[in-house]
This record gives sequence, structure tokens and C-alpha cells, in this order.
Amino acid sequence: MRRFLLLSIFASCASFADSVLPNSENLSVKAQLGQKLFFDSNLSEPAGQACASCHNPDFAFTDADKTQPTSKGVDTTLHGNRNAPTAMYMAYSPAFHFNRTEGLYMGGQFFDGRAATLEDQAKGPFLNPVEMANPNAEAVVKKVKVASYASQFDAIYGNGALNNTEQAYDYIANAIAEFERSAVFNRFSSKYDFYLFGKAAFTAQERRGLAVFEGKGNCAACHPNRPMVKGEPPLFTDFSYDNIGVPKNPESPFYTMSSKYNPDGEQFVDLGLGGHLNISAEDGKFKVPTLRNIALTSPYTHNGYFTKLRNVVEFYNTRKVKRRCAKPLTNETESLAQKCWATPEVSQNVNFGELGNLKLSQRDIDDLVAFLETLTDGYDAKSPWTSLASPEFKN
Amino acid sequence: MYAVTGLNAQGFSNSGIVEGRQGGSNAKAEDFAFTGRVDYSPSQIPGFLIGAATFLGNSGQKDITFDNKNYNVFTQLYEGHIQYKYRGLELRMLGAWSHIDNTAALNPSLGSAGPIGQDSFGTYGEAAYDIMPLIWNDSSQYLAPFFRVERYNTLASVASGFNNSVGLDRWIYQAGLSYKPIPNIVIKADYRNIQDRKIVPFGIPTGDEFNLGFGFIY
Repeated sequence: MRRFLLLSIFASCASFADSVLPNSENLSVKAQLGQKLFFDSNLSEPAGQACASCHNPDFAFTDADKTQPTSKGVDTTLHGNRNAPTAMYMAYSPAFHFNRTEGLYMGGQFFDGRAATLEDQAKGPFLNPVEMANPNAEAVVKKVKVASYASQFDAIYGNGALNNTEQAYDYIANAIAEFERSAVFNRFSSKYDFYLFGKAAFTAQERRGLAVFEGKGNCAACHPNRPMVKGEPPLFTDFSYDNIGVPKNPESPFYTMSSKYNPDGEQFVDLGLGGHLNISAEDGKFKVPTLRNIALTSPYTHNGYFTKLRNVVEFYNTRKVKRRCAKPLTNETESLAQKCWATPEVSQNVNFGELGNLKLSQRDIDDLVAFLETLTDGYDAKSPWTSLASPEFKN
Repeated sequence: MYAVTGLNAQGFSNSGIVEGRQGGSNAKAEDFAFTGRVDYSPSQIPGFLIGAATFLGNSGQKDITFDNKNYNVFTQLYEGHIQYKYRGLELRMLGAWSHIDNTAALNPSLGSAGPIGQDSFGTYGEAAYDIMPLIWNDSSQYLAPFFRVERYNTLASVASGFNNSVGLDRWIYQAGLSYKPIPNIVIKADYRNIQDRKIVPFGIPTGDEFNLGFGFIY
């Protein structure tokens, strides 16, 4: 069975590496190299997992396996503690920083901002023991050296580009980041984009949903939906961090993993940004995700607690209103059946001001979900935007 | 003719441009506008007045940028009015039309408050008659029933491709009574039958209205 699964992953990644992805026709040579790396399932230990295994283009670069709240590693008995976020539009995240005007931490990569840039992020999963599980950078570089595309490194980065392990690892990350900065990951081709240009008509429900998004729902406060200052396309995230009060997810396989990977067992608490910074005032905060392609990127929230988009909206709507569930470990289905919400995973720093009692009717929720479904890329092949902003850290 | 600070297009919406007016403080003054009015009362027709007014200027305030291009949002407003008073009878008519450029580029930055009208118009006709002399001949007070028909459409046209189903496209039939116990105080009561032809934007009251007002003219 395990062999079958591994073969399936191999086949899947190989087909994407060779196939033409939407918007990939004008990729730079460096981005093309990044694409090969991204889909190469020989770069894990053992072989079998690529970046694309958890960031599948058919699901807006999230995990295709929607049955698990967190992704499997190359060792399929292992799982990470966090839901694989979409890799789309992450190129626009500014470097991790503290914004003095807002008084907030912003930007960076991963749910907790621990990687400042796309390059830093790209280096992480190769060495994560519950993901691609390479023991060190040298092991990754060694695999790249025997790949069919190895010679391209010399052509792009100069002769002997892979000779020095540290530098070679930087080049690998840079090529992947370049691919992530390309139009393949930044398509801006949703129905909403076309709607902004007057090239797509919203249904009455979608129009009402937009009004809820900007009004009663208060969604636009953290997920701005209007063009940015210079008229660039909206990214549907302000790249800030927030604790929205998501409960622990009893369905997460991470709690049952051995002490080698999870020393705290069932007592594990994900502190998010606070854990990264070691600042208790930031405990429980996670990066505000883009809502572009949100209909494709289930499960939702940092620990994959929610399997359906409508349920996330319901949680935002009633978190402060519904009673607390009797058991702190109550899953999504039980919570809905019992008409309660479980205790937040981190009770400190929960956002009480902007969500939790939105007073949305069931129709408002349906309308809002209908609007969110207009954010899926591919309404038409080519983006209506003629002048896309460059991602922040283009090299 | 006056030169004034331009409107702020970010305040425009599918219910009209009134929120584009700027206050005295913190007003954006990147764009200016010109306004003028002319009235004429021919001596041959006592009680008759005809006039017109205009407002022309950019409303972008250098803030309307879409797809990396900045837009001026040139805004034109024209108004014409006729008034006639004969003994207790008062007749009044007014018509206005506006045209706003670059609405296709402005709409995205207005979110659910858009799309806005590229062309808008409004008109009303009103008849009133002071019946106080019929009730109390020597009185200096004023009591006038009036009837007004009003028609306006904030989305008479929209930029190509944009939806024009949400806006204020109304017929209003209004009947009421104005009472002035002294010339500079007015108490007014009226009933408005409002007939909408588009989906009314969120936050705008719908249905018929009964209004009671008090005014002091100084």
C-alpha cells in the first residue's frame, strides 16, 4: 500500500513538472529551473515527496488530500502540526517586520513569519523531519547534482554553482522563489478581477456577498478587497497576524505522534507568532491568509480545524455568541451539532473587537460564501490586469 | 463664478455623489473646480425667474489610480430652474444632469458602493398655493398645500460592462403642507410615495415616508 502511495505521488509530481501550468508560457530560465525543483519528488529522504506534493497546482498550491487537517510527510506516518497554506500570492508578502505605525508584526512567510523571505521559506521543508526529511542541506544539494536539470545551475548562476553546498542551497532556494514569484503563482484571473474591470457580471447573491464582506462581515479590515494605493490588484490580506480563537483540532494526527516529533503529545499548544518571537503578547497569532482561491484551499486555519468555508464564516459570526463546548477538544462536526465552540487553542490575545459576533443572517453567510467563490483564479485564462505590481523581493 | 475645491470621488457611490462634498477642514485640494450661476427675472413678467448653474472640475484629487494609471475623474454638473409666483400660487421646476469621466477606473476603488453612474439626472416640478388669505384675510402667516413630482436616476448610464441594477432610480410623488407663522420660520409636513425601479443600495431606507420638519431662516 505504501509503495502504491509513493508511486502515486511520483506520478502526480512528474506529470505537473512536464505539463504546461496556467501562465507558465513566459517563465524566465531561472523560474523554469525553479519549476523543475518544485516538482522534483527525488529531493526528499527517501525520494517520494516534492514541494508540489503539499502544494498542488490543481488546488491553488495547497494539499490535494483534503481528508487530513495537516499534510503527510515523505514518511506517510508523519504529519506536521500545521495545515499547508497556499503558496500563491506569497511573493507579495513583505519581509517580516514590525510596523510601528500599526503597532503590528507583518509579513514574512509561514503561518508564524519565521522565514523572512520566499528564499528562506523554500529552504525549510527540505530539512523538516516531518516533511521532506533531508538530514542537512548537503543531502539536498547532492540530490540536485544528479538531477537531469543540474547543468542549468551552471548556466544561470555560473560555473561550479553547485560546488559549494551553502551557496548551492541558496541557489536552489532562489530558483524556487523565482518560480513562486512568477505569474504561475500570481494569476490575478478570478471572476472578481474581471468584475473590477467590468468584464464579468456578478449575480445578485455575489453582489450582496461583496456588501457583507465590506460591511457587516468586517472581512475587508484584514482582507482588503479594493485595489491598492497605486491601483494594483488587491491581495485579500494585509499580511498581519491575528488570534481569531481557533480551538485545538482533535482530528490533527500531530497529537498522536511520537515524542521525537511532538514532545508535548496531546498537551501541544501552537503559539504561532508568539512561539517564533518568544513574546507572550503575540501568542496564538497566525498570519492572515490571502482569500484568493479560498474555495480551493480547504481545510482552513492554521491547524485545519475547519473543513468547509461556510463553517469558518459561521465561526467568525458566532464565536462570541455561542456557548463554550463542554470538552476543550471538540471537533468541527461536534461543535456544529452541539451548537457550541470549543475553547481557543490560545486564550490570550484573542481578537474580540473585530469578529465573533457579526450578526450575519444565514442568507448573509450564503451570500458571503458566494462572493468568496468568485476569488478563484481561472475565470478566464489571461488576467485582466495589464500592469501587475512586482513582487516585493524580486531578485 | 467661483473657484472651489473639487469634489472627492472616493465619496461617490451608486446612490449619488453627495458624499463627494468635502468639509472645510482636511479637504483634499489637489483638484479645483469652477462653479457659476446665473438668474434672470424679466421685468415684463413679475414673479418669474429663470436660471441655470454649473459645476465643472476634476474629482480624482490624485487619489484615483487603477491598474497603475491615475485618473482625473472630470465631473460636470448642470442645472436649470424656473420659478413663477402669482399671488398665492407658486410653481417651480428644476432639472439637473451630471456626467463623470473615468468611472470604469473609479468603480473598483468604491467596492460595494459602486458601480456609480457615468450619467445621472434628476428633475422635479412643484406647485403650491397659499390658502391663508382664504381662511384669514388679514393674516401675514402662510399656509400652503403643495404637490411635487420628483424623478431621479443616479445610474442613468454606467461604464461599459458594469452592472446598473443597484442604485436610486426613483419616482417620488409628494404631497404636503407648509406653514409659516412668521416669514422666517417654517413647519412642514409631507407624505412621499416612493417608487423604486432599481435595487436600492444597502443602508438607504425604502418604502413610503412621512416627514415632519421645522425650519428657521436667518
